[in-house]
Amino acid sequence: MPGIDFETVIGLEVHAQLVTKSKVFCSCPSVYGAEPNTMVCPVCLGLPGALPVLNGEAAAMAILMGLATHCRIAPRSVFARKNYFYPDCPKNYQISMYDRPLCEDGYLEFELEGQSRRIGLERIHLEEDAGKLVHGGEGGSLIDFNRCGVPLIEIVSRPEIRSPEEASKYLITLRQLLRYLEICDGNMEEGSLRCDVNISLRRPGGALGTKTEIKNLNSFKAVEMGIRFEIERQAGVLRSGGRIQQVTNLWDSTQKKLLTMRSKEYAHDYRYFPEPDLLPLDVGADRIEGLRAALPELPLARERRFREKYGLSAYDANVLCAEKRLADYYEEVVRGGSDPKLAANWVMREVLEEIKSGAGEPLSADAFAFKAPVEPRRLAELIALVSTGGISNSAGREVFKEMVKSGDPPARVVERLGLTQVSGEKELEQWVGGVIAANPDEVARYKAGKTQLLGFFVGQVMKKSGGKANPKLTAEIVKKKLEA
Amino acid sequence: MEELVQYSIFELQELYRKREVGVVEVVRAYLESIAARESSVKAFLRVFPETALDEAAKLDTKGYDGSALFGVPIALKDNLCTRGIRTTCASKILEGYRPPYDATVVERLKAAGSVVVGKTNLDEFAMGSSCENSAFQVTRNPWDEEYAPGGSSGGSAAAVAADLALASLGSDTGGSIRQPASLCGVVGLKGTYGRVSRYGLVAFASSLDQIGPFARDVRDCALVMEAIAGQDVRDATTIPEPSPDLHGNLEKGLDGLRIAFPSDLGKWEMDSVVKDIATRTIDDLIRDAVPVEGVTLPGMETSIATYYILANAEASSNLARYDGVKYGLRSGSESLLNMYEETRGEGFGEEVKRRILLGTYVLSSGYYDAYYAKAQQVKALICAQFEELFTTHDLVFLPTSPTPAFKLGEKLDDPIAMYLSDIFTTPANIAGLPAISVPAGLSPNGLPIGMQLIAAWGQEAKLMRGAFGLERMYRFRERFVRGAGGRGGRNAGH
Amino acid sequence: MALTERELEHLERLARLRLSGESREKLREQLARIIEFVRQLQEIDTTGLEPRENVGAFESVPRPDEVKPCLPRDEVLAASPENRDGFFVVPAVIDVEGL
Repeated sequence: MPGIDFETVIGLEVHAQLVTKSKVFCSCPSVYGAEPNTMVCPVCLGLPGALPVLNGEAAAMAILMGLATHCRIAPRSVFARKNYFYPDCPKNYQISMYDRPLCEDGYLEFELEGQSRRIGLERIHLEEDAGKLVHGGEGGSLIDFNRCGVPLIEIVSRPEIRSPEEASKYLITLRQLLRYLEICDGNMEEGSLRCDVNISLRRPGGALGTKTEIKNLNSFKAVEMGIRFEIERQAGVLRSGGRIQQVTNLWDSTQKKLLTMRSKEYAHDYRYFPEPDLLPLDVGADRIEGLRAALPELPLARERRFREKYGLSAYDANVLCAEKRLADYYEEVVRGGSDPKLAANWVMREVLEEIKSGAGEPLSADAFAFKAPVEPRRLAELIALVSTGGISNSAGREVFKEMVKSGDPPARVVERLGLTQVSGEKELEQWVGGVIAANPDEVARYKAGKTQLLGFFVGQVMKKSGGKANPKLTAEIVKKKLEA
Repeated sequence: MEELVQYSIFELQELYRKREVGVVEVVRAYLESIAARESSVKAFLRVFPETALDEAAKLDTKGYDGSALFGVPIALKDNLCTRGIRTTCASKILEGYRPPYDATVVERLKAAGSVVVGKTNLDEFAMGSSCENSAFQVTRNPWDEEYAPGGSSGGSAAAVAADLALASLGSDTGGSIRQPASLCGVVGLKGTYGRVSRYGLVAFASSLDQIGPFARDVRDCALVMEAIAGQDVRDATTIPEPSPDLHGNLEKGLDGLRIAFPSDLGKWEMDSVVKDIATRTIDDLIRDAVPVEGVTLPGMETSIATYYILANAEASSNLARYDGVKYGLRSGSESLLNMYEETRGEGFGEEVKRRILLGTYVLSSGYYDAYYAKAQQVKALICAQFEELFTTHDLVFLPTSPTPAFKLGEKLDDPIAMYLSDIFTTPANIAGLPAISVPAGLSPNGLPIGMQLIAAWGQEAKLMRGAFGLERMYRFRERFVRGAGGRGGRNAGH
Repeated sequence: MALTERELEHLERLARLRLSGESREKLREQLARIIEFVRQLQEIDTTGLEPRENVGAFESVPRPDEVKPCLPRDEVLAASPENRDGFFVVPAVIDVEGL
């Protein structure tokens, strides 16, 4: 880190692929992983005579993101051609937006190390993705145009980010929001979410420094590492009296360093002008209100509501609200009759662990499908069984694992495994008696004042009973006997 | 056989309906006409005798079904995409290119029962006013083969003028239908911007291009236009309202229409015969008690400059796709840059390169505001002025071209002179208004001169009946085109 | 206002085309004259005029989000100057210094 010499000024430009069925300006399918050049048509190939026609759903998704980030939605926005030559760009211009974007002046809020931060968003606009260039060895490059024309929103932050950690948190928050809106699946490895960083250093209170750009950061970690690397590099240059060149760097994820892109032999002059093949995009107040009404409850608001309504801690609310479908699942469990705090524990531990280990069936067939290991109402039933004393906590965990495997409802599993909790006094007294007899030293220490050993005795009874003993009643019986 | 080419579309439909003639016969007649004259006119880049006769045979088997252009032999400008058939835009860079799809207008023409007989020559990428900028051949004016047919749709105009096709399609960006129509003595129509789908028209200047028909008379022109006009979901700039009926009210002619003409006609440089015909028309209209008023026409001083900024800017971007990567010519392989430069250097002709560079210039940083942005504002001004004018008038009358056809090779060296020949046509492109050229008379050395009408936005119906009225006044075909009075025939050139 | 050689070269770079030796001079003169001719526009008073984005007064009609058939790949590649294994091939694109 540069130490006290320099302030870091960071802006992020994020490109998010929208999950429409068809591309933004033509009706080709927007899919990942198909055979090269099988998802193209005259329009996305840029054949002579072809014309773009806007996908209304892409516009709607872009507006949703604008609304979710408190942007002003322009009543009229204008598509523009960005002219440059590159083989993955079939028309040698990209249809984007320039000085009249769809959304402007929003912000993104998040917490970092207990501090609430708000980063301004300059703009969000709609544009088309380019094709994929693959280096083909033998002195040739290969081009696949399947991706050409997939809708993108470009989200440009103000240069208000101050550290690599903040950049990473900003990106995580942005991704969460995109997934909440179900407009982008946020997969950095596959490229549906891409992040370019602009970074400069300045002396505190001084003028803005020259900024450099970093591209090809394909994970949150890479964003942090790449930024750190560049901060050090720039600081080194400045400290030795040098000047920063305005370059674009590519992050090499294998070597973990930045490679400078060849400075363009020919300067970029994009010669933006309004796209004559598309009419301006007019969005009326009615439409905006209609879309605003269609917004889901956003993460911050949902976390707040979870804390207030369910009495959850900030940490728990945060974990449960990380993904919209996870939060939906949790609330389904609560609606199924569970105590919210118990439900939170079960979902955060048992359910999430199972998901991490790869178990579970998607609850629906889309990019945001939540892989539930057990259905919410079944989980609610299980939680009820445990909380009413029907089975013990540890038995409950065993039942859960079995439910995941077999898909059976909890009652059936309990029966099959014979885990019904024993609460009968006679049986419990027998077990307790046995344990007390077998552990005279601990009995003595307990009577001498080590009352924490109560847990030890209860634990022994649980072992002896194969997990079936009702722990609460067991504890009472132990106390009674030892203090008698 | 020979006589079959004398029938207009309108007359031919009657013959088909009464089964007095078959499509194969008619198509054969036109193919014979092509065989006889095409080698000297050179209107076509390619002709499809076998395909055309095949299509004709299929139509004969089906029998006349009332479709609007049943059995009409049609030629298409070679910047209209035809599936599997070479579409070159008269450029080396697309010399062997075969599109994998048909333009919307081509689909609609086929659906209307017409038979495509060939693709016609043009100035490369529709840039030019003489057809001399084609990379492949020069088309000659059928009225005098030492003269140019006009451009850029010179081939389509010449084909109709020489009876090589009964109708044809061209495209008009700054006058490229109307000017060759005037020079070749045929009717040429450009509708309201957005009336005809541009899907499949190789783009030159997207905000100005419109496809339109050439025909021997106004009624035929209306019939073709009706068949191709109308909203297309594949072209976002098409007008979403239903397109008007264009031929039902033609007989009303100029009845009830208020005409405006340029009061300062004398100030514009033009051939004296052109001025003569224009003033005589105005006098005749006055004599016929048609309300006529001299006004200052919008856009006359500014339309050329506005046009050349906007058109070339858009063209520089539209033609960027010709780079040797996916289709067309590829030259050079040392590096990507080398490939781009060699391909485009070799593949584009002089005029195209000039316009690309001019367009690049007006869009480049530092110049955008003064040139492009300014031109957009002037365009808005011209639109507003026309809107104002059309609150008190229905049609604007003025010449189509300042001169009749010029000799081949005469204007090539002076691009400014070439540009000035667009002075009467560009205002309608800038304002997006429908406009038509109707043959009016001949110059002393026997070259046709057309006169132009412009109507308000969306008012093609008024335009067509006004044109019909003028056509009745001029009696051009009766007077100058060989054949029995009024029925048309082979043109006077031969 | 003459177009200098440097300005012309810059335009050529942006447009990725180069003029042959013979026509360069002629073209430069012609281009300069045309540019001069076009500068007349700057004398027109257009204060307060908004650019007319859409000559007609109708609003855009976006498409529904529906999938339609694509081009078969053999048609896609049919016109290509060079292709391999379903990809278009171009001379190698080198982005990074030192590679």
